[in-house]
Amino acid sequence: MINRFATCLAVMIVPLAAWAADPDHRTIASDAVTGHILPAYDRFAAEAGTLAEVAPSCDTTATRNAYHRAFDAWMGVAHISFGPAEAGGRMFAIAFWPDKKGQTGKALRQLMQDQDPAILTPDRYGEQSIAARGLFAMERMLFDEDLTPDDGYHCLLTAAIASDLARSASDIRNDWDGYAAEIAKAGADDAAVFYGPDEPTRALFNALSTGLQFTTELRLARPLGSIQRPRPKRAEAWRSARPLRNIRLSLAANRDLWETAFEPHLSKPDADAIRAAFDYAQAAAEAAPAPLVEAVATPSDRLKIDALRGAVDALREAVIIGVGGGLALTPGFNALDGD
Amino acid sequence: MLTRRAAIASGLASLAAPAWARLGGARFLSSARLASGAHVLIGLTRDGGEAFRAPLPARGHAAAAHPHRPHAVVFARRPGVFALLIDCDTGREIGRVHAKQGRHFYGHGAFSADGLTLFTTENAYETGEGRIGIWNATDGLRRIGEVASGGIGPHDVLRSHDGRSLIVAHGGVRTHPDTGRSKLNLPTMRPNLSWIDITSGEVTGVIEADEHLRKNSLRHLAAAPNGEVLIGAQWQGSPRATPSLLATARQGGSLRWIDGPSQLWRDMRGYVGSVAAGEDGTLFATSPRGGIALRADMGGNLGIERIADVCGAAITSGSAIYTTGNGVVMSGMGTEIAVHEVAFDNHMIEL
Repeated sequence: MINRFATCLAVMIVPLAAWAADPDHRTIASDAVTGHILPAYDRFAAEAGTLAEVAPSCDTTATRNAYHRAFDAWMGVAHISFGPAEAGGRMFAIAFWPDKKGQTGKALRQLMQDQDPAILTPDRYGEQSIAARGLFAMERMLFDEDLTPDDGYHCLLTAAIASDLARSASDIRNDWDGYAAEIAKAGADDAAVFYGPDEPTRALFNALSTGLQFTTELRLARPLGSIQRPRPKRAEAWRSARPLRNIRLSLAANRDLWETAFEPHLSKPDADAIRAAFDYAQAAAEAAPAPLVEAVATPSDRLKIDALRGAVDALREAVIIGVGGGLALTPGFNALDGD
Repeated sequence: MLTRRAAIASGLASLAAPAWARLGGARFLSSARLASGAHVLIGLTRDGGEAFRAPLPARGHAAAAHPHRPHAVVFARRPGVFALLIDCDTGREIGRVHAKQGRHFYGHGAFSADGLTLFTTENAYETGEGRIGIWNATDGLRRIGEVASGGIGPHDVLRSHDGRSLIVAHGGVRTHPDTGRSKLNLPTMRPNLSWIDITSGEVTGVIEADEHLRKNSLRHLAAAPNGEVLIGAQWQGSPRATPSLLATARQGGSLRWIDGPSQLWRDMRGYVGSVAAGEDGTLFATSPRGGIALRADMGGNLGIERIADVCGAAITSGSAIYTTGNGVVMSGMGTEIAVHEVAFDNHMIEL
């Protein structure tokens, strides 16, 4: 952390003119949009659509398979935290997690008790609490034994959640067309979202570093808890046995963003350092003992999960120094995070 | 602007600083982050030097100066829950309290004119209703109650010029600690300014923005001369719209937005971080996102200084003084006064 901060200070005090060459922001942004973001949202919207088609069949196995494919695809875009996914808190309606108070379970139990058919339409379901929507609500319906499918309403509710999820996914994907046009106009006179040519690059960099931070802090450090008190049920999507799968997929998606948008613009030493850090973190994720919920509570395995956390943290540092420092993106403390 | 000028010419109200602040030592307070990642409250001298630093348990936000004693309270940044009482002569922590269960601080507070009571802006986050926490400040801090603040997201609070009311800026944005700092109600947000009678705790007046400006989140306040209050706003609507981000108001009136070219508000990225007002009625506002410090004089003239990551703003000797995320202390004329190896956080207050 000390290094990162020192970099940040040094970078910010240097006047703009001191940089020999500005990175090619237009290329970075367009490569990210066409090579990474749009294909990943295409896939997520398609998989969520398939899930919505399968769920009304009430076939648990088929629905679970479709759920896994949709969640896999979500891991490809979960780090794209700016733009259409951010608008109106849509991201939380897709992935309400961490759910510190078990609100998803409470909300769904209430809905199961009420058995109100009127809320099952897409419009009405979109008005439900975000805790009752999205992938984590879907997971509860499909994997939580306390919500056993005892009657027809269980399947109807599952289908409504799937249908709402598919709609959120396709709304975000559709809005990305307009947003991509705004990214392309960054810095132009008629720009309405990105006033400076560097702003999409900053948003992408922020998405990458925040995505890695999400993995270390929420997907790894929270379930690790302390040695005395590991917290396996804080792992992401543990009911459907996805914690390590999500970590691996998220790292792969973060790497894809980095390779598509940033790597070609970095100096060789910066690019080498980040590539090595990705290699190491991804190898640690592959080698991590599954399932994570058991590993965090088993002394010898726990060390490997902690090592993975350290590897992702080191990767994030390398990204912040290499991409943030190398492309002079590190934002000001107040500009980044005002109130 | 003519109305304001006429009003101010008719009677200059003194914006009294606490008498004890003239003793020397710290004249300004600002939260800051150190290179280690730790957070502190820093006391700055008149010439921008460091008078003291006091460790904070987590990221701080603004502070409130006691009117008679050399004490100040620094508040946790939203959604934090700590408030530390600091002795500004020594920089020592002399008291610490936490928000009650189900509440968090917004990071601002104000003392009553007699210094016996402290008021804090708080979120009753399960319902999203704004609260003013009331603390007995005669000896340390002790919570004695709370009242409704009159809106959602009570952010900054200011004691009125006559000391009888609190003025509360409600950003209008609902948040919940479970979803971090995510904004939960942008489509329906309705910011306002409320006046609360200090004796009765009743809301005695509310001013809302016009419908087309209801996404202009009213965030920060400064006492302007003659009973006026200066408000700094943060635009939550479409980036295509570039409304004014600065307004003045007085109780019973309406918001009077400061006129400026749309390019200015656009360059400020729809975001004012801090506001300050001089005794002559000159208004100051910072935008860290735009790297701009704005000055608006009584004649309606606007001037800007480009200052990277500027946010903290206070008044000294009739002009502004700014702090930045790069550790720089700047004069209102854009001259560097001092540089510290810290990142100054959002706000600076004058003692």
